[in-house]
Amino acid sequence: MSGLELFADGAIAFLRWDVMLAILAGMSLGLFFGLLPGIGGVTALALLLPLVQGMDPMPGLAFLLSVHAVIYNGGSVTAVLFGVPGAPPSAATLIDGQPLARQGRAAYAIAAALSASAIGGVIGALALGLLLPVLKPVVFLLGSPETFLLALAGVACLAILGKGSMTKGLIAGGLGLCLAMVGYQQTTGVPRFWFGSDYLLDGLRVVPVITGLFAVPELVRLALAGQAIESAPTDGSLPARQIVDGIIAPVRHWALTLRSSLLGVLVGIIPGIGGEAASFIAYGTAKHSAANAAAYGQGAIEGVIAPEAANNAKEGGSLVPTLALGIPGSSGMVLLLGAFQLLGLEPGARFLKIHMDLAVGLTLTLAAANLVSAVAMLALARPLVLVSALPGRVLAPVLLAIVLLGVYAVDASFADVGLAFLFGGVGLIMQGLGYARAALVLGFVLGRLIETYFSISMQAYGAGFLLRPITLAIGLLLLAGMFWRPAVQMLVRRR
Amino acid sequence: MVKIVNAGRRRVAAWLLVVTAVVVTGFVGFPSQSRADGAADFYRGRTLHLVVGSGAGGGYDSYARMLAPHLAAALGGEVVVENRPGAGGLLALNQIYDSEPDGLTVMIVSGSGAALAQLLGQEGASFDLQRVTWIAGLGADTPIMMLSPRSSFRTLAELIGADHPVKWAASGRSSGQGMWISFLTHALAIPTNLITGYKGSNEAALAAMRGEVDGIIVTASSAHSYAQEGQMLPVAAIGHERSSLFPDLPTVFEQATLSADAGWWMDYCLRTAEASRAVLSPPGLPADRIAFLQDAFKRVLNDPAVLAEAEAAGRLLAYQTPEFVRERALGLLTDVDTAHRDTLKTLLAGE
Repeated sequence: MSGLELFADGAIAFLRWDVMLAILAGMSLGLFFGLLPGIGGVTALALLLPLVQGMDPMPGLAFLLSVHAVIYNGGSVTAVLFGVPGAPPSAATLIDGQPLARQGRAAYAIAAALSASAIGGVIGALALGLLLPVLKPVVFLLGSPETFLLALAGVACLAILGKGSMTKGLIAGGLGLCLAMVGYQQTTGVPRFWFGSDYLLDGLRVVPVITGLFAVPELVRLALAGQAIESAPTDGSLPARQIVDGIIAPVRHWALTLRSSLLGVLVGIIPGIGGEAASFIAYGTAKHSAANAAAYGQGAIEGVIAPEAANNAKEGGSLVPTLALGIPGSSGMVLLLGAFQLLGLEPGARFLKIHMDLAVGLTLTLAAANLVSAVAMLALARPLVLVSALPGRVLAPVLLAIVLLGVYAVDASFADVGLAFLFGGVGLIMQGLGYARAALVLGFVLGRLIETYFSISMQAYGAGFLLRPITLAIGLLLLAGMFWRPAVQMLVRRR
Repeated sequence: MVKIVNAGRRRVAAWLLVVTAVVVTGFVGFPSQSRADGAADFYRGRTLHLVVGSGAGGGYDSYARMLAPHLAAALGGEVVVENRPGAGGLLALNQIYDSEPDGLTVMIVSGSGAALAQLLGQEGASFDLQRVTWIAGLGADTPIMMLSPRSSFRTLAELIGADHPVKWAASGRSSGQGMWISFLTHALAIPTNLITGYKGSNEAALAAMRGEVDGIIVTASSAHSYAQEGQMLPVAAIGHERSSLFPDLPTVFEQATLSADAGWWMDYCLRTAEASRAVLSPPGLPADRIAFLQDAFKRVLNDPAVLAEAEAAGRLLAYQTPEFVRERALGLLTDVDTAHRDTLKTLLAGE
């Protein structure tokens, strides 16, 4: 079957009115859940999974995929406007998104975030589509050593994630790495630092940590300031003008968008790394290789584009092992697999042979959902920006209530809410002393990965695991991607 | 006049007393009848929490979600699936064990995993399996040993005679797969390097397909999907009988002769498979509610429609009586002498 015939089959499976309806419904729900801080993609999918029973495969899967693909879009809006990440991966967006909002350029930031998400999502879908014929070999290429390398690349970004000195970034990142050690060690099953408490046995939960670390200090500041977040725009531009600029921004920085999207796809293909790491690694890599690295953290639009593109591209990547082998590429994919089974399908090598049209249809769904949701959110951008014009002392309590509801909803646990407050305190201290919270989060998210995959790689391949050809190649690529600019600068200076 | 009134009042009082006595005797004298109706009445309109000790989408979760609507119909109320991931299901089991014995919480858990955690005094296990209420078992899936096509080993005989350690993958040493690998390789004296830390059985299988490790041991249902397109090669069925999903695959017993001690380990391994999907409730449940729950699960798990649905989803479902599961799981706890227990500790704790 030629590629064109496959594509045509897929398009036919895709272009049905019930599929379109499912995408619209899924998209709306996804944006809604994304706006609610704390309820991430996985929780939303788990809630909506039973609805799919009895549906036809294509609309059912399109519905779920649309929900999952666009949750981050809603999450980035709250991240920019209020400094409250709607979903853990959106926390990277607020590093530069919040300063932009405070400069009165929230519409610009939101438009850029959504546009970058859409483009990233489409690139992710494209990558998936191109890889469909060769999915299995690609998944097999990326094993534990490669996962370790990618996590290591993330750690390399720790020092420069924040505005402060590199030492402070390293300290914050180190603290994050230490926090990751709470709970069961993944390779030996021995619990560490759990102090006899069942709650800590499985480690600190990521949602209360990230939400507390970022949301609480922002809301405290908002409540204390009493005024609205958005002052008059510093450059006097109107919101409409800002939105147009924002939409074009990722296109202007096309190299960055492309790089971040590809990084997102890579992270998605590797099953071990989760979504939170992708956005932070993309941000860090962007800052590493940026000419204007000093501007990051003060409102550089690149700092918004990079994580957003990576976030959405990751979904295309995580479909790769899911479809090719029935092995979920992310926690959201685990639920999607459940949906496959509910609908009577079994992803795997045989699935691709029989249902290639479904696979292509899903790819198209991913692209479409990303595009349509970006447009929908843009239409909502103006009213939402107006919300941020409300005085802080009105907004802060309402937002705090919603945030805490979201944190509670994940596991129906008050301990989570308590933990969020605890990390809110930590976040306030860190903000006051100039330590980068993003570095702590990245260290926290990567800590377990680095330890586990290093250990597995050592056991499976011995000490020379980094010297395997594929691993070496990927390692050099990552190094090149991160350090080409400083390297070039050094060479230029020498001349 | 007063005397007549007094007498009248006394008569009324006497009648009242008699009636009250009769009514009270009636309530006390027919307890079982009213309480049996009570169990059915109790569950009608109430919500049963079906707890799963893993995140959404995992194996236990799919079983729970599949059974939930049918259970709801059988109980006459609502059934809600609750995910409480953590510590491989032990966290949830701790919580269930301490929860209110009102009959509204049941859990699908690996009875063997729990038994071993308790036997070895694992940190974080605060329950006592000898006191829990056993409701049913969901069926034992035959473990299948699979090798990677990229491995240098091809048959069980080659594994037994290996001159260098065979690499296996599992999520953890106390996970179902990890236990099977430990017990089996110990029984057959296969030199082994068990690599743990993968995020789940799926990731472990992927590592094997990739050639990162030589082999895995998984349930027959999972093995069936991994065997597609020759991604993984089934080598032996671990049981006294062949698996229905792999009728041409010989069992371990057909391919190797076992010493007496090896026989003990194989038997232990098989018993862990048999108790791997148990339905439990907290200790101290009222007897009528236990009976009602057990009956409901029995009806649902024997319902042809449910069995057909399970088969269509590629999941094994075979009703096991609560006595059977209890005996199997507790046997893992109690039928272990000191020598074997020490070896178990070494095997499951690792180097």
